[in-house]
Amino acid sequence: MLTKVARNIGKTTRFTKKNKRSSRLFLAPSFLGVFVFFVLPFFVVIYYSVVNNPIMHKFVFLDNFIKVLHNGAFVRAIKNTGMFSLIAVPLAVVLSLLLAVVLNQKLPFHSQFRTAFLSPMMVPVASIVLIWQVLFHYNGAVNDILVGLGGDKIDWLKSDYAIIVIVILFLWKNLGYNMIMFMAALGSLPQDLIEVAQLESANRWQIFIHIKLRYMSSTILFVTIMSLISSFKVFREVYLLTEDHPYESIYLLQHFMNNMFGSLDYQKLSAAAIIMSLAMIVLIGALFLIENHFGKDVEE
Amino acid sequence: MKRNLFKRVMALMLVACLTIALAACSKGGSDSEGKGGDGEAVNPYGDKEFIYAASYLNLDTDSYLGSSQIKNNTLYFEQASYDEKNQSYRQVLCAADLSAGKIETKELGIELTGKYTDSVAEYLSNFCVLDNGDILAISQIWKEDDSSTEYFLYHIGKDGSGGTKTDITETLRLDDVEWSYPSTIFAGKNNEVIISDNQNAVWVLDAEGNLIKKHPLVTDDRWIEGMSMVDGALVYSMWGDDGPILKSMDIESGQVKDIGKMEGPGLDNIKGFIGGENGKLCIETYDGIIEYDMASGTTEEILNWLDSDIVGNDVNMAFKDGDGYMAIITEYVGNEKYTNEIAILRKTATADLPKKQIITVGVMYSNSNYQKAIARFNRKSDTYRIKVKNYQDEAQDQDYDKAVENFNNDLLSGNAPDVVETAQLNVDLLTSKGLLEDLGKYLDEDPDLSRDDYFEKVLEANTSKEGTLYCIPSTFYIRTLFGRKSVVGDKEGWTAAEAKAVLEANKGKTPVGYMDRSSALSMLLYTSYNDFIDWNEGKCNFDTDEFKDVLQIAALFPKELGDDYYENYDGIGDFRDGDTILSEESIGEITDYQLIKLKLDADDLVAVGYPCTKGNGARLVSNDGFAINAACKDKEAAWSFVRSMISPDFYESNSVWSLPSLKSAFDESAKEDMKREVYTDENGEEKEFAKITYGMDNYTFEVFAATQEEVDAIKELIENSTGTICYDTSIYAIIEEETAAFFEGSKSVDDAAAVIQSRIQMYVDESR
Repeated sequence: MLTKVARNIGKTTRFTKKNKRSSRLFLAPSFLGVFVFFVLPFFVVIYYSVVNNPIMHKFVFLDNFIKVLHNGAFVRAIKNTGMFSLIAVPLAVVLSLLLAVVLNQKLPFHSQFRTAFLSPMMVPVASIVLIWQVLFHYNGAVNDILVGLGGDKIDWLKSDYAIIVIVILFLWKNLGYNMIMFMAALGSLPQDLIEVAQLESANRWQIFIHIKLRYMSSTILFVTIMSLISSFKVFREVYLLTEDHPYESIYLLQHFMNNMFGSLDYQKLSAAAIIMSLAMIVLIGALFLIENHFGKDVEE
Repeated sequence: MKRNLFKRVMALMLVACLTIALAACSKGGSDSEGKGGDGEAVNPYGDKEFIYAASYLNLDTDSYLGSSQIKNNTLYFEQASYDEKNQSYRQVLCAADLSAGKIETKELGIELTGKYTDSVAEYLSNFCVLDNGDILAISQIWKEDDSSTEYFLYHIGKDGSGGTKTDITETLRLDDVEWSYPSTIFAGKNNEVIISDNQNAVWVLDAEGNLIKKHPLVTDDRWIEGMSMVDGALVYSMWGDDGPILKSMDIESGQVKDIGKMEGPGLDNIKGFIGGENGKLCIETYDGIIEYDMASGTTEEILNWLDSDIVGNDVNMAFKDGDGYMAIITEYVGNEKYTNEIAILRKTATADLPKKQIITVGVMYSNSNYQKAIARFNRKSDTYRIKVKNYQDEAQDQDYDKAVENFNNDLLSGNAPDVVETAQLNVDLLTSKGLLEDLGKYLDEDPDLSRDDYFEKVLEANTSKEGTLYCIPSTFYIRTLFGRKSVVGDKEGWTAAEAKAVLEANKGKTPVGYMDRSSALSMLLYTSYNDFIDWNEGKCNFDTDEFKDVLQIAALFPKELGDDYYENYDGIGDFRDGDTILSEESIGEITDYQLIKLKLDADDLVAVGYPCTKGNGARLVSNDGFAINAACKDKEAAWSFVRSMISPDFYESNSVWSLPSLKSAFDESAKEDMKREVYTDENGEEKEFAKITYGMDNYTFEVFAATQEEVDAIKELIENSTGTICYDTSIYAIIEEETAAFFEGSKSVDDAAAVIQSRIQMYVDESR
């Protein structure tokens, strides 16, 4: 009996080992792809960040990082990108959450509203940019209204107001997606807990803050991270609106990266990319810690 | 244990992949074709198994060679010489035996002479050598009185003996034809001669000028570009709707056959046909010789001129000679004088040729100046051989931007040429990244050359903001604005505020001829934007009054000129009348300056220059500048080529068409320009020859010997010039975009300048 069990165990072990081997074989192409297209380029970026230029390959250690940190354009890009993310990401999270809560009520035409908020996601970026140009050009529709109301024209895209235009564009583009995320989270909340709270005479605000928000913390974190990533990607719209050297208030980190690539300065580009990655790692790590702190009791 | 082994294998693979990736990022070794600059002697012809190696024979004549032909190892050629002093010409038919090793020229029995002023003048048109060695030549006699032309056929023996002259005017006469000039002549079978006017007809005559046959030439109303005899048929090409088309005529029957459209590499670059056999047409192009198979429509490159150290542009005439080829190379050496040599090209295995170190030279597009310098260097050097990389040829559709992009990619991947031509590149960008060598140190260490030998301002104009002397051009030219002292003031150089004040005071007049607002903006920016940027401090000053003045000057120009403007505007007359304020001019030679003075015809003329903060506002623009790649392994070899284009030898052996950067060469050139050439006219009076006669619209100008004052004025212009013209398209694009609203009147100059300042400041910050 014991021998039979041992034999079975042996068979299982062999089967498991064989399984593992074949699964490794199947995983190998994906692994190789990730390695060649993600891991290796990252090492190449690190390599470029510590040499003087792509043809001399002289090791300069941290010189490129020092140069980048002292570069006026990079510092300006960091400030602008930080400022933009600081304004746009909380707004994108809070406003989409509010919209989700409102549309979760049994309002008339709520499905039409939902569709309306989602529609910017379907519009190609080039068209969005075209609409924004028509609206915010110096001789555009918004200035026509301003002048009609007796005001002065504002050069929306080439003045300090430019950041406002970009924030509005970002919100218009991203609110729908965030809203759907929140609506899904709201729909999957434990109804028994809410009913118990209602029986315990908790008001709507208390239920929203102490139950709904708590249970939605992982979704809030996800939406925040996605919004943060999207805020870095707003460069695409800004670039199409204002090309590679925009007014200084909307000069973003990716402008710097893009222009460094165009001017063959791979060293500064690599150093800036590494600095940016480190900052992103720290930021997302901090978000995870916060989520862990607030959402811990929910998971327990 | 097995798990550990797996981990180890994986780790090893990772390390291997990483090493390969990093190795791929590195400079990369020399490839089999010898990328160059790595100090190793290799076969310099790459994959080519054979090339046509050239040996040279000098033709002892400084006259221009006209028609030529080679038969039975003898070169027959028409030599023309002009005596400016006596206003006379002399055309003579000569022969030279090529088998003797040294050429001895013998004049044959046809000699035509005359004076420029003769009312009846005879010129030799063309000739051919018959199979029996006799020579037939066509001449034309032009009569001024009735503007008629008569044609004659000369027939002389192979040694020039004997000779008949037959009037063939009536034989070649064509009724109802507006234009006919019999100029092409081929030897036919049975000592017959085939003559064509390349447009209307083909005549077959016997050696005594009697007509045997006459055939109409089918051209479909197109110009014939090349004509030759192949296998007894007359083959000729014309430019069709989208490329050359080929036809052939059977000389016996006169039947014309369409061979079809010629397609293939090199066929857009045809210089002429040089015979052929077995259905293959031999074609001379500016790049080499190709054979076109008329049955299959395929081409094959036979030889490339540069492989044989020959410049295609200098090939006067090429011939097929048995298994090899011959080419007459004629170079203009100035003062109406030429050098002539014969290159004898024999097929040679590249394995038998000496191995050499390769220096790769990258050019964005090829021109005969580069080719000449390269061919000359290759002929002289026993150690090095230049290999040319033409980026525009390699780019799809010869797209210029693609060519620059390909060069940048080569640079970043470590495969860039050792030496690169700088005219089309963003040298500021390349020097700021340390990718180009500072030629200053090579110049300082050179035993024969020094900085003092060159115009200081030329070196300055080719020095980057980091202080790198990235190239030393062999020649340059000056660009500036001229005006009248009474209008623009008498000093050379003015600020934008002064220029604006003058132009505003003369509103209603033309600021600069043939210049609209967009052209004015580019002129003002490309010549001045560097004045508003302190690259060392990383600050720009585009919100200053000085820059606002520049924008306001541009706004004073008309938005568009319109078709009427070009039809009716008289630039010279308007300037002379004071209706045009300024004239933009280029001075590439001393005679250009003399011409400007004649053209603008003002006693109070002043080179006021482009608006600037210092100097005279004149800008120096470089020609033919080469830079050395900082990654080149054998920089001394690269320098040896670069210096070959700026050394005194270069100027002595080349006729340069712009102002030399070498001061001594400039002085030599000035000496030549100051030499008076005189003749005695029919009244016995001594008259000076015009060096150049220049016609423009209704004006004709004659430029005579330069004076010392004129030479000094040019030197002064150079010495007080302010930099060069910088084509930074990024800066220009920003300014052009932001000024549009200002020009339309919807934005103030202050608002436009503020945005320009903000955007360009970011651009400047990036470069630090």
